[in-house]
Amino acid sequence: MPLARAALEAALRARQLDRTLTTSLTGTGPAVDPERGLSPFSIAALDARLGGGLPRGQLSELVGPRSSGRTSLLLRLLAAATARGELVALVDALDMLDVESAAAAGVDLARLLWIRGHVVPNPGFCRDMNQRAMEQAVRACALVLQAGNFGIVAFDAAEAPAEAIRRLPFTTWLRLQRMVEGTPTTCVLVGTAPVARSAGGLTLQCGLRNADGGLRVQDRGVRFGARLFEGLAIETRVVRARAQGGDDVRVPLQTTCA
Amino acid sequence: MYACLYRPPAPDQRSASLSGERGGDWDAIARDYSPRYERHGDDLVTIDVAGLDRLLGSPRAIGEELRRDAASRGMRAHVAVAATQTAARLLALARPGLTVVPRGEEAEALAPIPIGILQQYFERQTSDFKLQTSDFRLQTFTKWGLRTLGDLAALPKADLVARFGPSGCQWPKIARGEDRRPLVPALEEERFDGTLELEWPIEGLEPLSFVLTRLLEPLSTRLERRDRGAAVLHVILRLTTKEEHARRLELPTPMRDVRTLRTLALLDLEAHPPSAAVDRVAIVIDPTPGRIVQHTLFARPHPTPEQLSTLVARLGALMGQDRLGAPAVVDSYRPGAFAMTPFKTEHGSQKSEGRSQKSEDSVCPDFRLQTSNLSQALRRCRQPVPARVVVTDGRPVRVTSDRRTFAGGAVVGCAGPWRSSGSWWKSEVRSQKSEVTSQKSEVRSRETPAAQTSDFGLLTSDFRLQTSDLPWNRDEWDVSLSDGAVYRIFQDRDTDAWFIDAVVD
Repeated sequence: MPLARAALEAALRARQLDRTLTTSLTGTGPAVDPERGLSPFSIAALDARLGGGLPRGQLSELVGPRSSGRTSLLLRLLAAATARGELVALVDALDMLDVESAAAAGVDLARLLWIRGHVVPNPGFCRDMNQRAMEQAVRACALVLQAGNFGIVAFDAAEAPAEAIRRLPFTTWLRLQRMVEGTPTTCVLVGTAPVARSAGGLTLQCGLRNADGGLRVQDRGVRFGARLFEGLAIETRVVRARAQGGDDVRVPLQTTCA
Repeated sequence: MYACLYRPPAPDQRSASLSGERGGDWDAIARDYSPRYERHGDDLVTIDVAGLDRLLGSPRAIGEELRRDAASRGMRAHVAVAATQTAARLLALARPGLTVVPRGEEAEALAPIPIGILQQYFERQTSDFKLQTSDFRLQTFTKWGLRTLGDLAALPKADLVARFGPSGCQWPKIARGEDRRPLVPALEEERFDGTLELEWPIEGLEPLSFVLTRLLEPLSTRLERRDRGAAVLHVILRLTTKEEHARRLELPTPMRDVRTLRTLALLDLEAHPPSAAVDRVAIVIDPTPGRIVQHTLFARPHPTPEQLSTLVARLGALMGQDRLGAPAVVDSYRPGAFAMTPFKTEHGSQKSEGRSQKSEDSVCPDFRLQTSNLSQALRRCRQPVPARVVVTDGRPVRVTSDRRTFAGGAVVGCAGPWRSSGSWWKSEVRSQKSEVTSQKSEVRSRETPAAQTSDFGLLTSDFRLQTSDLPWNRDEWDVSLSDGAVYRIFQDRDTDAWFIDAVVD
């Protein structure tokens, strides 16, 4: 019987059908291809919680509301990758990257391919963002994934309105998942809500830390000094991952103004 | 083993003209014996004759054969055969007829030659190592009383270095006939081009891609055989209107992959399409030495330069050339200032780069030491969002905007103000800005109070985007709102208008 089960698992794995099952065949650990590895954040507590980092060859998500620390976390991920000598790409759909922040986070800017989405001519906080710009950004992301061998490919649509994301064809994310599958690239989608995680990927929910330990709200995680804004007290938790054992462990983090 | 042929100056004018006519035969003679030969001026050629002993016999037989061959072509030549190029060259310059020196006896053979021969030697020196100020050195040697190469070879090396510097030790080596560099064979300049006349004119890019592939494939094969890569790709299209549509692609790295070259050419033609149908396609490649890449087993592979070049070209066609690259920090206090640099297609190993960077740039944090502290990031609004701000006791207490995605709300906490200004010394842009300010004043007088702020914002932000040299003068605040978000807002001190500049995230 064990032999038959092993043969079945091997056959499913060969056809890449094991990832479609509800539970991982490989056990309790994260669904990581050992040959591909992980992309760590270089934050000990978070990496320990994630089993080493975000899995390569998968589409993962960094989600959270505005001022939840997702950009700081993304820049840290990019910085860690460039420190390892990897090339990274950031598809900045709304052209909102602050280069000084990236440099302060330690991103080796020479190794960062920054693709800036077209800014809407009319000023607006994404209200007037046309669909074409969003689709262009998705196509740019697909091109980068097709080129291959980037360490991290991040698609930043954090400030995009939900309608713009919803208007994208459903197959968009599936296509990106297929493109990244089997490659040594970690694809990260930054947004406000989970939309596109692949089966083996992770979804990290970011939020401000509350006094009672809950995620977010109000000003409790915002630290103001006597004269200066000092930073945010945030926390992240894995909200969707097939390897998660159901524990709701939050990882407290802190952002500090340079 | 090397053979050197030297054509001495002709004794009379008639012979000189005869020799001049046949000067091109030097290459022909050398090619007949070996593909490895090097020209030194018009009258001296060194040939690598190693291996010819099985075909022609002893070194003397090889020398005789060379001399006979030159004579049969009507050329009078000095021939020298020696184990080193330098010895063969000096002997050919100094001695008429045939000179053959057994291996290991070069120094003895060169010893009686007058030191003045070095003048002729250096006149024909074309390599990178040309002893500069050789005239001065030779005069010095003469003043020292040196007469022959043997005298020069006998000088103590340490004393020469003490007087002439590191290059001083090269002189005795030359006098002993020792080689300082290997032979650099002369190769003919090879043209890498191809042309295809089309039976029927082509209008679309898709059929053109097949033609380009057909032209590029043999060129790529030839480049590979010569260990060359394409540095510049010229695509010349003759149109049915008898005009020529020429495109020049400077490639970031030497490459010869057909698919990459074809894709780059097509993307360029897509951006700059010909004005009429094409009836002839020509490709010319400027070659450059091939790229040698040593991959490592212990680091993750990077995208190859070919992949990156294609990717950058594709992204440029999709997004626009100015929308991608590597960001760079600029030396300015202007909020949100940055520069875009072309994304390099070749990246060295992190180890070698990292060492130098670490010592120079202490900003880069050591990730192993940091645990849970993140650097606070901002999300910049390239066009600041006009906002309505209620100020009480000099501090903002409520921030709202017309933007649907930005609800705003009461200020829960704030820090500031931080005054920032710059570029005020630029008078031209300052006067332009004053014009804009006057326009805004007109707008303010016409519009309702609710719209004033927005229009202010439109004008100011548009103007700010057009030129980055505009002066700025503002008070910045970091505010935490009741909707849970933290923003960086500022008040333009010239117009008193408020804007949202960035989201703290």
